[in-house]
Amino acid sequence: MTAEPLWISVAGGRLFGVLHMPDVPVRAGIVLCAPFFHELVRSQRLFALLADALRGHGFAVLRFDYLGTGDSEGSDESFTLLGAARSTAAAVDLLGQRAGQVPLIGLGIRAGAHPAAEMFKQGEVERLWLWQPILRGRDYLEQLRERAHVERQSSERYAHPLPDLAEDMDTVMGFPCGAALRDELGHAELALDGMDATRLTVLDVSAPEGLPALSTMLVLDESLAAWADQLDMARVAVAPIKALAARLAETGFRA
Amino acid sequence: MSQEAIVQLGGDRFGLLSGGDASVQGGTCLLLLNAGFIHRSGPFRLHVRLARRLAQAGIASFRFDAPGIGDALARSDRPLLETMRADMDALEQQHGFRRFVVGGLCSAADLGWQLALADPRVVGVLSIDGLARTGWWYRWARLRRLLAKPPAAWMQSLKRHSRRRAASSMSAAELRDWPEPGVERGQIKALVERGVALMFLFTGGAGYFLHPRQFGETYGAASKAESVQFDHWPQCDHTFFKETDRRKLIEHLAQWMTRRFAP
Repeated sequence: MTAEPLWISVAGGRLFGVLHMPDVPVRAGIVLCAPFFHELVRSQRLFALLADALRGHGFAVLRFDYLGTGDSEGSDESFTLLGAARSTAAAVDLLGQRAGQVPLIGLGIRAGAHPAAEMFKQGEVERLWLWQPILRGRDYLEQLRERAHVERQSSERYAHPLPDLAEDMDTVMGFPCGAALRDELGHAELALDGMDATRLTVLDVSAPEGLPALSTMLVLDESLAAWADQLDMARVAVAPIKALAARLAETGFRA
Repeated sequence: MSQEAIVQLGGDRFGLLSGGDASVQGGTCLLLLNAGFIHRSGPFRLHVRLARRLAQAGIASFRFDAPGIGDALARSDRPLLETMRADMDALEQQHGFRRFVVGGLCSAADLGWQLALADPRVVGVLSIDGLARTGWWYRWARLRRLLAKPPAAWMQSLKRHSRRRAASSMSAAELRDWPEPGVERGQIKALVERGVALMFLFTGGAGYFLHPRQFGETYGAASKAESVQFDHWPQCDHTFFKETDRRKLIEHLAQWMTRRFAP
């Protein structure tokens, strides 16, 4: 079996995860920190395929759902940024046990950049890969609120536009988002310029603000970047994912 | 509530069994099928929350991915119906479930319908925005909607409608896996006679379902059987974007499942 579904114990419940182990000796381990809210659902297939493609290059890849998200235990309301960091720490522990004495990489996608960067700062992972990272949580929340407003007014979704009710303010793009998470995201800032550039790789359509000169930048084309702005679900093209995995194996990690 | 368990389905496929002991549940399990390309947790985590609500009521459910969706990485040339029946076999062999309620939202409703017709182990169908025909009542509802708007908006509506038609010449019936018109009447009759419980819900997001009388017009006399439940929620969208709509749906489904299948 190429992908092993498993549970990871953490305070407050169990996390659901899928471990992609290579058939060859493990070169490095990658903990994949998923994006949040609708982006988690939207990108699930893309990153399942990427994990499988990276497995083909000798990486052990662990995907998991934070507590209160996806198939993990916990209510939607229990999901917080602090909880995401704790969930990531538990996932890193498990990957370390399963992958053996190999370097570990944190791959943070969109808002998942924050728990991944936390592991990097604490020295729990040796390298940090950031995929279309959200640098300022406050701006992100504002964008999502505007987007949710558009959805509530959409004639494609509703025969009559919905008013912005107070109850909807406790959700982000349809997902429950309590005061604690809103507050955490409102204060979340990710500064790339203070990071060790030699161990940082960014994947995006263009270089984000503050990217250190010596870091590795992989430019994503439309087929791999557009999902973050789309809501429609469709089949994911496999070829660009395989090509990106090969590029990551070559440039994003040098043993 | 018992903990959820991972169930292997063969190859790289697996699923999560919630609330699960067949001997306690009377051997019935709800199979939550993929809604389009959305993976097994469902739109806005709907399947996860429904599974846990049902588990509290002592009802088992199983959420999993069809080949080529979500975590089921490999696609398959095998007909989907055969794959689903093999998955039911796996649940029967590994966990003792011999009766299944099948379906879900949109394409899941279509597949659930076919599965019910194909496999006698199916005792219930959950159809959210499933099959319905656009007959007389649909046209009447469209006209009524148009007339409710100020005259200035009529031209806009007509233009929008023309644009949509030009953009997609396919009707809902052509885009979906539905039988030839009229066939569904015989199918529902057969299911009702077999004792299958049927739950139909249509949302405002199903653009082809605008009037509650479309239901009887589509399915005929059998739609009035005691084992058939029908609801129309025009204020909800297709994927239950609003948290309040989602809560209402989960409670609605849990009550139907409890009434029909609780041990």
